[in-house]
Formats: sequence, C-alpha cells, structure tokens
Amino acid sequence: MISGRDVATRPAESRSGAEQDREAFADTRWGAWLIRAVTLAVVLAAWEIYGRSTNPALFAPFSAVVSAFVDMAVTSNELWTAAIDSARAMIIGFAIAIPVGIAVGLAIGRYRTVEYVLDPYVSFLYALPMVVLIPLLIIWIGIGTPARIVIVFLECVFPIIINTIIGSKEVDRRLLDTASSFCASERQTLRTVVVPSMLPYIFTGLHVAIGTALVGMLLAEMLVVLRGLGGLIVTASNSYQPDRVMVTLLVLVAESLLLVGLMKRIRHRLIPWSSENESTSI
Amino acid sequence: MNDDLSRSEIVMDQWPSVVYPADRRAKLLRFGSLFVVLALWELVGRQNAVFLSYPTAVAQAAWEVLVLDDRLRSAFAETLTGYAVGFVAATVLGIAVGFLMGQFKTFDIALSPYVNALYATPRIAIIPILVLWVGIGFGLRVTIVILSAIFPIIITVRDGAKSVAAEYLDVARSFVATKWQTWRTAILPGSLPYVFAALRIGAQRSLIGIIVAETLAAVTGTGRMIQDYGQFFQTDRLLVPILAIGFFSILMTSALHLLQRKVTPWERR
Amino acid sequence: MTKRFRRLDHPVLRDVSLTVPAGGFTTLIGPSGCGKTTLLRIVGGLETASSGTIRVDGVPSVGPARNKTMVFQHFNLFPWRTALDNVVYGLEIQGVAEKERRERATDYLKLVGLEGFEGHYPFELSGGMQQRVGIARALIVEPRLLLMDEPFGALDALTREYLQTELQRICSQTGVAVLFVTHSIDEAIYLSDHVLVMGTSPGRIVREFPIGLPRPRWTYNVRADPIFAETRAELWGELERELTLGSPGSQAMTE
Repeated sequence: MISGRDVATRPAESRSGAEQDREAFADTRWGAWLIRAVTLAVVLAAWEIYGRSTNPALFAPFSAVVSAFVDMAVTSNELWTAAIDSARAMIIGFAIAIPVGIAVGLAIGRYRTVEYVLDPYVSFLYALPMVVLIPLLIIWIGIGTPARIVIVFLECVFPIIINTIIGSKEVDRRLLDTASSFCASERQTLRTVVVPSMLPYIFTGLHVAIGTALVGMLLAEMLVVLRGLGGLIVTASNSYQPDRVMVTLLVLVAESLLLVGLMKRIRHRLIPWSSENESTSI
Repeated sequence: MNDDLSRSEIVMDQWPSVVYPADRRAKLLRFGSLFVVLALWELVGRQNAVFLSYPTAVAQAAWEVLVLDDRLRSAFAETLTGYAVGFVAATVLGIAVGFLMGQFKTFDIALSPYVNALYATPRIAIIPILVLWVGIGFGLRVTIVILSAIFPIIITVRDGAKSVAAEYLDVARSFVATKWQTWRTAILPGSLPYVFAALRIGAQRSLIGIIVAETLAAVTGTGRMIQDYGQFFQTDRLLVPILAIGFFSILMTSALHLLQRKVTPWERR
Repeated sequence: MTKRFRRLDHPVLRDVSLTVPAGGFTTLIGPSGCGKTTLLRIVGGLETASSGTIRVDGVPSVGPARNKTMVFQHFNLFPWRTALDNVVYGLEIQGVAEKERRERATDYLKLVGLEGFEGHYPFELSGGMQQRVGIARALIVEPRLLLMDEPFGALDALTREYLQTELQRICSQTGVAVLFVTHSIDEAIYLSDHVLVMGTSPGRIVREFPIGLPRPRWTYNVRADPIFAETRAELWGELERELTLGSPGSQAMTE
C-alpha cells in the first residue's frame, strides 16, 4: 500500500505518511537524477573555470585532465601498466591476508586460551597506524617487491581478524541451542550454524580490508618502491604535472568504487540471506 | 550502498574490546605469555640487535630519547597539536554535514556521490598534490587530518540520523512537534550512539592522517622522527614512538568509550 | 464529539466511516492485516487517507493535532529521558513553562499509579510501568480523543488484566474519548461501549456491537455475567466469519 518510492532503508511501513508526501520530488527517480546532474554540472563548470584561471603547474582544469587521460591511457599504455602493476601487488597481499586473517580470527574467537594470549597484541596492532611500521619493515625486508606485498598484507589482515572474531562471538546462542537439541556433533554445528552465521561478519571484514589494502598499496608505492599508481602520483607531482596526478586520482577513485561494488556483488551471491541490516550492533 | 559503508565502520568500532580475564588462571596466562614473549625477545634480540632490538635496549633508548633529549618530546607535541586541531575540526564539520545529509533528502542526494567517492579514495593519494597547492606546513597537515577523518564521520552520522527508530519520530509527530523540535528531542538523542562511534572512528583516522602527513611531507613531527630513526637503522629508538603511538590510539578509543558511557547512561552495553 | 471519514484506497481500506461519541470507548477488532492500525494512524494524523475527512468535535482535522494523542503498542518512550521527562514531552513541545510542566507530570504519574518513579529511566521500568508512562504522556495534554494501538499487546497476561482495570479507572476520571485497537475479544468487551468488527481485503467495518454491560466494570465480576458470554459468542462468530472469508483457500484459519 505505501509505495516503495522512498530511498530510506526502513520498510516503507514505518515512514510517517506526511513525510512521504512532502519529499515526493526528491524521491522520484528523475528528480534524484536531476539533482545529481545539476550538481555534477556545477562541479565540472567550477573546476574548469577555476582551473583555467590558476597556475597550470599547480592545478589542472577538467579539460586538461581529459587530454592527459588520453595521453596516458589511449595513446600510450602508461596508465594501464601502472594500474596492473599496483593491482597485482595489492591482490597478492589481500589474497594471503584472507586465509591468514580468518584462521587467526577463528582461533582467537574459538579458543579462550588463544584469545587471552593473543588479544593484547592483536588489539595493539589494530589500533596502530600501519604507516609507522614501514621504516621497521624496510629494515627487515628491504625495498623490493616483497615490501609492497607485506605492507598490503599487514594493512588488511587486521580488519579481517577483528571482524572474524566479532563474527564468531555474535553467533546466536539460540541457533546453537537448536543445533544441540538436534544432537548435532561439533563438526556439524560448525558447518551448519557457526560458519553461515559468521559469513556476514567476515564479509564486512573483507569489505574493509579491500579499502585498507588499497591504502597499503599506495603507501608502499609512495614511500618505498615508487612504482605503479602511487609512483605515478609522486613523480607527476614532483614534476608539477597536476593533470596527470588528477588522472591517476580519478582512476583510484574508480578502482575503489569498483572494488566495493564487486564485494557487494560477491556478497549477494554467496550469502543472499544476510540482510544488510544485520551484523551491526551499537 | 550508504549503509554498507557506515555499517562496516560501526562493526569495527567494537574493537578493541580488550577482554579482561575473569579468573586468576586467565590472568596468569596472559601475563605469563607476555613475560615469555618479552624474555624470548630479549634473548633473540640481542643476537640480532639491528633487526629486532630487545626490551632492555628499547627501554634505554626510551630513556635517552624522551628524558635526556627533547627532540622526540617536541615532535610528539607537534604531532599532538596537528592531531587535535584536525580532529576537532573534522568532528565539528563532519557531524554538522552528516546531520544535514541525514535530515534533508535533497542535500543527501546531491552530496552523497561525492562523499562516498571521497570516502572510498585513499586520502594519501591526495597528499602530493596538496603539497603542491598548500606547501609543507601546519596547514597542510591539518588539512590531511581533516580529509582523513571527515568522511567516515559524515557517513556514520548521516546513517545514524536516518536510522533513528521511526517509532520515536511517530511520537514527535503525534505531539505536533516542529521539524526543529523533532530533531532536537528525537533525532539527536537517538543518534548519539552513532555520533560516538563516528568520534572513535574519526580519532583513529585522524591519527593515521597526521602520521602519514608527517611521514610524507614534514621536516619535524613524530612521523618524520620515525623515518629518521629508520634511515639510520636505530631500531631501538624506532620502537619508542611506535609503541607510544599504539598506546595513544588505544587510550583515545577507551576515553571515548568512557565518555559515551557517561553521556548516554541509558545505553546498556 | 464525533469522528467521521472515509478512505478509498484499494486495497487497504475502503468506505470506512465511524463515529466515536464524546467520553465513549470504542474498540476496533479484526483479523491481522485488516487495516485497523492503519485506520488508527489515519485518525491520529500520522498517515493520510486518499479521501475522506476526520472531524473532531465537528471540526475537520488534518494531520496530527493537539486534541488527539496516541499510545503505542511498544510504548515508544524515549530511552534517554526519565519517566517524568517522557511524560512532560507533549507540554514541552507546546511550550508550557518548566515548573508547571513538572507539576502536571507528577500529577499524571500519580494518576497512573507511578508515584515515586519519576526519576527512573525506561530501561529500569517493567513493561507495564512503561506503558503507564506512555498513557500518562498521552493524557497530560488533555486530548479530546485518545488513540490506543494494541497498548497491552506487548505485556504478559497478568499485567494486561491489571492495566485494563487501571485504564477504565483513568478514563472515567478524565472523561476522555477512546478509540482502541485490539486482537482480544475479551479485552474489547471488558473495556468498551461499542465494538466495531473489521473485515479484511479490503478493510472495512463489518458490524457494530453495542456492549450492554453496566459500568464501572471493575467493581464486580463482569466476566461471569451471562451478557459477557453471549456478546463474546456473537463477536467470535462474526470474527470467525471474517477470518475465513478473508483468507484465500480458507478453512485452516483459526485464531
């Protein structure tokens, strides 16, 4: 009965009726698009105007960015090579972090002893900005390719561990009771109750980890190895080429959003039952 | 999409929840293992001083660097200043914008794409170009801190404001409250838990921001000191600021948790 | 005081028209999904009808108004306010002076039997007590009409019975008119002057039952009165018909 027009997260039922009527314009599909289009147009226009009027060594207008993009991506392969280079390091680091993170998280969540022993270190490392460890890492492993992977790994393993721990603690008692009332074995309970319950939390961890992996990749590239997209940014900045910097930035933004979108897709596929409204508690 | 972002922030906000061992055995285990680790570290570290350093060396370095010399102390002070200013600014702005976006649909729709995109962008990528524009200095560092912290704050507060239970809004409406009254009496108190989560997240991000800013683009400050110690392979000294920063981070989070408990006594956690 | 309106909104409510007499107690009862809560919310102004008008004391009323307040099934107290602060809410919105607000709230808390609990937070109160706060909150603004949406539905049976009696006492003391929604036939008969049975798909009022039991009803064992049983049987018959009519492929439907 109440239209699903509103974009809020709650089911339409609980929105007070008058509120719905009042916000009708912003609610309609083309209304929203109009607002977005207008804002975008304003932003681009401002960008272009401001860009043309300032020092080209410092700031590039939109048109310059577009032509730089053509240079870097169409005429040459520069952008793609860099992107792939970066992505490779990031993916490897991330891929290693997933099993390690989940395993450690499970161990801590499941075994009290492990928790008591490891908890202080995990908490400490999670609270620590990873960037301060970079000089230490350089002392340990130098500045070659492994450095990038290790940094990415460190950045993303902790969110995964933490979320796995939270996930294992939030397994609903009542579901466990149900399993035991059916005389399920430890293994069966693990398989049928614990793992499915934990999946949404693990996915949240992966979701965050992808973001931090990106940060780690950039940190490594800007501070240590000077390759890939991070390297592009630094070299372009140092040679006063803001147009190239912005192209790279935009690519990063796009990549970020893409990865997040990808995660959502995978999440929907693998765990379709988890409504977005769970796995939070305040 | 909006909810995913803040949701992941909020889930992460539950940590660190350092588990306090309930019984003696557990306490023993924890401190015992800590002692073992320290002992091992001491033994192995002495053989590989450059790589690992060892507890006694670190303690000595701490003494040298914190008490005898004042460079690190002033570096800490500088870092703290940049952190505080940036954090406060990000909090005030972020909460304001977050509430605006939570309350006014048009605002939300217009700004969301940019907020989400900027949130997803690693802010460190912006640093080199910011250095071009703003130069190296206090302003730059504060800007980076603000940029690091403000987006998760905005998103968390926005989603908090939106998800204030419709039931409370019903109550306000049934008493014919004005929009402002509704905001003040129902939405604001109802979104306080989210505001506190946003604060904690902001505190973390601000810390990362200031350190990264100092590492990449400063001549003084803790980030810079860490780089220096690293460059000269002074591992023992290097570990001092690392440990200090880690503990500081935990301190901030705990302090904010405490504050939340005080301000919102009705939240049973 | 009367209330009259119609709503044409396929498929929820259609051609509904009802009147609540001043100081009277009218109950809406019907199967799940028949729209009784929606109807209540429309009367309260929290939702709008596609057509029709709501009149209080003959004056058309659009949207929420000061002469009608609501009591909710899940209490909906602000957890961040004490009992007293929750009760003063309506007056606070209206801009009544603080001292006077607090005095009146204390009086109303006394009225609902919660003297001494002014400083308690909702989480420190039992469900029954919370709902009493909700009732005090609704009454403090002295509305002409009190709308109650299954107010005792979230409470255990014993508290429920206790509060039904309390409600009667409070209503007779304040003289407010009540529009009440419930699932329970016994509750409906115990509390009301009129019971309106609603049908579902689309929601509409099927039949009206005047309740012929003398008031006050807490001074004697009203449930033993034969009229009670008769009325109950009739109501149940009507409801049963609605239940089976309402659901497709019906027989299996039982309350």
